[in-house]
Amino acid sequence: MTEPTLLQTPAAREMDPRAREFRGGRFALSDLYRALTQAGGGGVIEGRTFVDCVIDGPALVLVLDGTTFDGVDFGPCDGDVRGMLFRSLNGTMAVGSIPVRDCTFRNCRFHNLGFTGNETLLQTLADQVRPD
Amino acid sequence: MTDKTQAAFSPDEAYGRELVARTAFEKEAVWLPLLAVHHWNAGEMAIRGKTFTDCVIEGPAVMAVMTGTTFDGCAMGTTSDMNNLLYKPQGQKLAGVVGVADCKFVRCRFVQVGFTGSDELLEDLRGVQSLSQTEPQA
Repeated sequence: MTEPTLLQTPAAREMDPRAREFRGGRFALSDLYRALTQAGGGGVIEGRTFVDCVIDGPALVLVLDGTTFDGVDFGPCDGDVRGMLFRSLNGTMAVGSIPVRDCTFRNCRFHNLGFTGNETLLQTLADQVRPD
Repeated sequence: MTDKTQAAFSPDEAYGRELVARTAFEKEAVWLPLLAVHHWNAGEMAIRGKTFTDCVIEGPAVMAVMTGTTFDGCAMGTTSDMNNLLYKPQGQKLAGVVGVADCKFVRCRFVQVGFTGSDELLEDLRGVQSLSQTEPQA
């Protein structure tokens, strides 16, 4: 049985969404985003560093400038990384996605996250993310 | 005879199971990521067979619109251009999105929700009026 995904776990409830660094632990990206917006932190997850975190979906990450992935496990994709990539038909608004700018993800594991962004980003992920 | 397994559920788990079992939602705010997670934890990989009437459906989330799902008199988003809400998948297996099949959305308002699906579905949704003419009920 797969490990259940939980939103608003006790640990997640204790997170400070305004923290600049998140080290270890497991949380849902939509939880963090919602907590951040409710705390008045704006509509973009910006300038954060995530190390050794397990980050759950469901969520579509809008990858903006300055965001990097180092040693990240993007999660199972049945041998085709394109399964986690989506192209916005408009390319500018990307409603429903979670914008992430100038963030660093290091040695994190993603579970059920999709990704969107500009053409360069989509091609980079398609080329560089290793399928399972 | 009491259901001994019920006693083992945490309040969160019991709430989640109750949500999964429901087939109708009316005049409620529904947080789509949470609804999806409760379904996955119950072993159901898509939200299926439910009717949402006069609800606010909240993201952030992208809905994979699957067979049988319909939208009737809904406000799909605060934009006049449906393209702002739509995503074309680049592969076959869709990660990160919320699958919704055989569901009906009636006079619902979608907030921070995008949509994806087949090329045919995207073409159909492009022609939908994104802003409802009626005031939201929820």
